[in-house]
Amino acid sequence: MFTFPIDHQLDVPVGSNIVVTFSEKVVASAASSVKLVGADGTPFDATATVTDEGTGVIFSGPALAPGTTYGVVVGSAIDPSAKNLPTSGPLFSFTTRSATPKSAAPSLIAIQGTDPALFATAPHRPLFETSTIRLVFSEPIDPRSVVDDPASIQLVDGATNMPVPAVVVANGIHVSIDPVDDLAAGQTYTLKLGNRIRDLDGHTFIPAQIPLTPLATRGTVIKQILRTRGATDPGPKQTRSGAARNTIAIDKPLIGKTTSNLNNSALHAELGNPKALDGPIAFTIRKGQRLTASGLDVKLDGAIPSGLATGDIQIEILTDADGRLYRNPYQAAGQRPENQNAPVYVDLVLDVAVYATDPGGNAVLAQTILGIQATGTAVATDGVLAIETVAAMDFGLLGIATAPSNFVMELITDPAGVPAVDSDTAAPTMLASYPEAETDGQPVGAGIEVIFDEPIDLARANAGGVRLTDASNGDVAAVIESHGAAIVVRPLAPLKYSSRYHIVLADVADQSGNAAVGTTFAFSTEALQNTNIPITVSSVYPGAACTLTGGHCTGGKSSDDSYHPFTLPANEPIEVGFTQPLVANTIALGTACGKGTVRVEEFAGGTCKAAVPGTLIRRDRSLQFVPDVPWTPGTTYRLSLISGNNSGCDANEICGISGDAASFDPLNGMTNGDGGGNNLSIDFAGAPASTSTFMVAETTPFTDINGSGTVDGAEALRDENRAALRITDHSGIVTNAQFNSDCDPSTPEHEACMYLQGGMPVEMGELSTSCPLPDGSSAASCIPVKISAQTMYATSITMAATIAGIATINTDTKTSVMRVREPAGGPLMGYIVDRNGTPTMITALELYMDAHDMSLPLSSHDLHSKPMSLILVGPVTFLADGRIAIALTNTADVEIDVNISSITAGQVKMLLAKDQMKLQLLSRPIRGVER
Amino acid sequence: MKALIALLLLGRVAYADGGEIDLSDDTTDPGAAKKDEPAPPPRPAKDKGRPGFSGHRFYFRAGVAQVIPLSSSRELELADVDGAASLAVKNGPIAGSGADIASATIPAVIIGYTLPVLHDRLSIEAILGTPLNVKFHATGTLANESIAPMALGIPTGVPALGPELGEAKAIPPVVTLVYKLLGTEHAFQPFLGLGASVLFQYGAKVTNPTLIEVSQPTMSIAPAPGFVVQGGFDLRVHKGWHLRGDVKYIAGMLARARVEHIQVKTPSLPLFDTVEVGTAKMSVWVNPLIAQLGLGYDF
Repeated sequence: MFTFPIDHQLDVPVGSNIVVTFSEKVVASAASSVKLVGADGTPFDATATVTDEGTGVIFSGPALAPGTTYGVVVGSAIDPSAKNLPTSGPLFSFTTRSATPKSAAPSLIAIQGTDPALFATAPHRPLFETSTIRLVFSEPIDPRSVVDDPASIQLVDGATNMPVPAVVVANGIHVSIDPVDDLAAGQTYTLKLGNRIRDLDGHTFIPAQIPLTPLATRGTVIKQILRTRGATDPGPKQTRSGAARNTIAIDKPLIGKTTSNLNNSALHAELGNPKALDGPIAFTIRKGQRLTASGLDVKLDGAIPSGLATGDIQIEILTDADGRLYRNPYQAAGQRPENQNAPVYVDLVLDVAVYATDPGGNAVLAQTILGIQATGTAVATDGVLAIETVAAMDFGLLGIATAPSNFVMELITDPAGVPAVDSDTAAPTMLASYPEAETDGQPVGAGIEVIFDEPIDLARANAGGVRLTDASNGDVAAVIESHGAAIVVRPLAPLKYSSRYHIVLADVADQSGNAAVGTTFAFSTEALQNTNIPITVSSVYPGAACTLTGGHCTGGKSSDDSYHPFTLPANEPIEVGFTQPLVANTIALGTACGKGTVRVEEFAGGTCKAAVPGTLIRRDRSLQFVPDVPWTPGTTYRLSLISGNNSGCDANEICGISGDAASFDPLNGMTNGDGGGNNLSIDFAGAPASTSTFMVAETTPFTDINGSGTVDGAEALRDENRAALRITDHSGIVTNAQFNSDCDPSTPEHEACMYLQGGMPVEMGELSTSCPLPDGSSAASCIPVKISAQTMYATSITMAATIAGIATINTDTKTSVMRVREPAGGPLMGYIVDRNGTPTMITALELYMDAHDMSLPLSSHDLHSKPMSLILVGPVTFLADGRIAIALTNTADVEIDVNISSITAGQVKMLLAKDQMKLQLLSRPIRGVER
Repeated sequence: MKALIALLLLGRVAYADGGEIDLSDDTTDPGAAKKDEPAPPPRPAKDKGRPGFSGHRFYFRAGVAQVIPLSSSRELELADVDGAASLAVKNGPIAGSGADIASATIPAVIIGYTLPVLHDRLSIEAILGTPLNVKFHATGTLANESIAPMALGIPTGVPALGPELGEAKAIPPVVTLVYKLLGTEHAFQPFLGLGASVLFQYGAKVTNPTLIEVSQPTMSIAPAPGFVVQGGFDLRVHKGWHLRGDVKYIAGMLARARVEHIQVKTPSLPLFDTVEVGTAKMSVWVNPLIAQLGLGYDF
C-alpha cells in the first residue's frame, strides 16, 4: 500500500531507506522475495528485512550508486494475499540523486520532480498557483551563477512579459524559485534558464525556456493546522514506513547512528479547492513556519564527545512548501471508499532551513536543504487526518561530511483546531561571522558567512538588506546564499588582496518581519605581497607534495623513506594545495592524454589510456578534481601537474603569482629562478570506496601568504601555526649563535619562529577500541585518523652565527621544508580520544627537515632530510563559525642539531621546546568555502 | 370520550326498557336488583348460567386498525465512525436530529377468550394484524441539514437526508386482559384492558436516496416491547355478533434501529468520493395509539 520512494521518483538521495509496506503482516521468511534491481533487472546486492511491525520490508540505506535507476521487484511470496502485485517486473522504480560535479555542461534533469521532457504532458508533480518551482540540475551549480536574471534564472509572466518577483535559492544541484505572490491559475509563464548558469568548473548551461501554466487549485482558502502527533494523540496504530515516527535518523560514522525527535510543533496548511483537480487536493504550507526537533549531543562515531551540543534543532520552511493528497496508486481503480488498506497518498516537497538553538551547534549545523521529497500516506481515523511522510535528505555534518538521513514525519490535523504555532516576535541576531569582524587574512575566493540565530528573509536581503562594500563603500557584486540560519555573501569575482571590505546588514529581518537593527562589520583580505619565489605544492592527495625520484622526493637523500604506493578511495577527490595563489588562466584540465596543465589520466602498462572525465574546481590556492564516475579499484591513474622546463611562465604551464612556472622539486631549491623543472607526476590506484570522513585540514591562519618562504612586510604573524626554535648551544667553529629576534616574549629565552603553512588531507575512520596511542598511553576507544603524509613549509629564520670568533654572519634559513614521513608499516595515523570530555588528537609526526637554500659562507650544513620526531597533541574544537579546529602542540622538547662543515666542524644546537610547535589545522569554511 | 359515555348511557336505557335487545344480564347491577328480595343463591359456574352470557367463551373481532404512532425519538446516534467519515462526524448523537414513524391502517383481528372468572367479565385478547408497513422519517437536523457538512473544514457535499429514512414490516402482536365494565347481560359492553405488546420488525431497509446511493446499508430493528392500556366496547348487534370499537395505547415501546455500513457520496470531496459513515443508531419511542373498529362473533 505504500512504497518509498514512490514510483518514478527522481533525485532520491543515495542513502535512502527503500520501503515497501503492505496492509497485512508479511511472510517474514520470504523477505528475500523483495529484490532491489538495476534498470536492466540485474539484482542489486542488498538485503531486505521485515520491519518491526511486520507489515513492511525495508532496505536500510543500501549502497546505491548516484544517478542510477533502480527497481524493486516484489514477489508474491512476501504477501500471498496481496492482490495488486505485478506478475513480472518491478513494482516501482526510482532514480537516485547525483550531486557530484560532472565534466559535461550542466543540464536540467527535473522540474517539479519530472523529467523536463515529460513535464508538459505528464508532470510527476503538477504546478499549482502556490507552488514553488523546483529544479534539479545534473550537477552542482556555481551559486554565483544563480540570480534572478534572464540570463540566469527568471520567471516571466507570459501576459506582460515582465519578470515575476521571486526568491531564488540555490544549493548544490537544487534551485528553488518561490514567487513572492501566488501565480495566476491558467496564466502562462515562462521559466527562462540562461547561459549564465554554470557548473563548478565553468561549463555553461544551454539556454532553455520552459512554459509553465499553473493549475487552478484555489478556492476559498481552507486552513488547517497540522501538528506533530504525540503519544496520546489519535491516529493509526501502525506506521506505514516501518520506522519510528517523527524521528530524523542519521547514520554516518563521523557521528555514529543518532536520532533527533520532532518536538511538539504545528504548521498552518492551506488546502486548495477539493474539486479543482477532480480528486487530488493541493495544499500549501507557507514559508517561515517551523518544526522543532530535539538536539544532538554530537559524539564522534557516537562515542567520543565532541564538546558540541546543538540544543533544539529548528527546521524552518524556507519557501512555500506545496503538495497534494491523491488516491493511493495501489488502490484498485473502482475501489470505493478509500480504506485503511490503501490510504490516500501524500506528496509534499519542501525546502528547509535547518539550524540549532545553541550558537555553537548552530554554527556547525546551519544549512539549507532544498528539494526534500516527503511522500507518504494520509489515514483518516479517530477524527484526524494522520499524515505520515517519509523523506530522505542529505544532512550536512560538521561541515565536512554529508550524512544520509531518513526522516519520518507524522502530522495530524489538530482536532481542536487551536493554533499552536508560537508567534515569532524576536528579530534575528547575528551570532558569528566568517571572517570575524575586524580581522584580516580572509581568502579572496571565499564567501563571507554571517550566522544568525534564525533564518532571515532572503527577499529583503537580496533587495539591498545585505550588501558587500569595499573600502570606499562601493557595492561589490555578490550573491546571497541561504544556509539555514546563516547566509553567505559570495562575491561574483574574487575580492582584491590586501583590501578592506564591509558587510552591511542594513535590513535584516526574519520571515515574520521582525527586523534587526542595522549594523556593519569590516574585514580585510589576505595581505599579498609580490614575490619572486615560485609556487609549489604543499599537499597532493593522493600522493606527495613533490616530484618523486626513487619513491621519495626529488632532491632529498637517497636514503629517504620511500612513500608507500598511493591509493585513492573510489569516493574521494584529488586535492592539491599550493603555497601561493595560482594564476587562474594557467590551469587547464586535460581532456586527452598529454594535454592540459592539470592531467588526470588512466594508465595501463605505463601508457595513458585516456584522460579521466571529471571536474576541476579551481580555487585561489588549491585545486580539486572530482571524476565523473568513482575511481575504479585496482585501476592505475596518474595525476600530472605541468611546470615546464624553465622558470619562466610559458604556455601550458602552471604558474603562481610570482610570474614563474611552478616548481615541484622544492628540495632542489625554492628561490628566485627555481621555477620549472620536473612535472609533478603521481601514480595512484583506485581503491574501494571508503566509509571514512575525508577532510582537508589546513594550517589556518598562516603567515606566508605569498609563499615566499619569508615573512614579508604586509604579512601578519600568525602564532597559531609556527615552530619557535631556541639556540641552546653551539660548538666547534661556531663560537656563538643567537637569534636576533624573539617571537615569544613570554619565555626568558629567545625564540625565532618559523611560520608554517601546509595542508593535511585526513580520513576520520570508524570507532576503534583498545587504542595504543603514540605518546605511549592507551585509550579504551578512539577515532583513528589517517593522515596523508604531506609537506609543511616554514618561513625563514635568521640566526647570527659567529664563526671562529672572527665574524658574525646573519644566516637565513630560507624556506624550510618539513616533509611528513610515513611509518614503514602503514599510513601515518592520528587518534582522536576522549580526554576528560574533550576530544583530543594525538599523533606522532616523523619529519624530514630541509633547508636547502640556507647558505653558510664557505661552509655546508646538514639540514637536509634531517629527521625530527614530534608527538603532537591538542584538542579538537569548533570555532564560532563552525569550522573544526585541531590545535596541536608538541608534548616534549625536540632537539635539532645543525652540523656545519667548514674548515673545521661546528654545531648549533637548537631546541623546539615543549609546546613551542603550534599547528592549528582547520577544516575549510562550512558554507563560505571557495567555489 | 363523549361517545363512550353516550354508549354507556345507551346501554343503561336499553336495560330499563326491557326491549328486544337484551343489552344486559348483569344481575349484580345495583340498579337492577329488587331491594326487598333476598339475593338468589349462587349459581353453579356454567357458561350459560349467566343472563345474557351466550356461553361462547371464544370470540373474534375483525376489522381495521389505524395505528397512529405517538412517536418521539432520541437524537440519532452514530457509532463506529472511522476513516474519512471521522473527519466530518463523531461518534455520538447528532444534535437536533430525530426520527418518527408514520401512521398506518391495517386489517386486524382480535381473538379473545372470556375467562370463567369475575362473572365472565375478564377476557384475554390477542390482536393480530397484517404486517404493518412502518416508515421511519427523519426529523430535525437529520432531515434538514447535512449530517457531515464539512470534513477538515472542507464542504463534503453530503446533502441533508430529507424526511425519508427507511421502512420495515412490523408485526405488533398485542395481548391484553380485558375487563368488561358491565355485566354480560348488557348488549353494550364497555371494557378496559391492560396488556403487553412486542413490536417485531422484519424486512427493514434504508430507503433514503442519499444513504442508498452508493450501497444498501444493513438495517435492523430490535423487538420493542411495550405495555398496553386499552378501552373500548362491544355492542351486541345480533345474537353472537358484536360490533367492536377499541382504542389501545402502547406505551414504553422503544424501537431501536441500527443501520450499518452506511456509505455516502461526498461530491465536493472527489478525492474520497465515497465515505463509509459507520453505524447509525435510532431510538424511537413508537408508543402507538391503535384505534380499531371491527365486527365479530362469539362462539
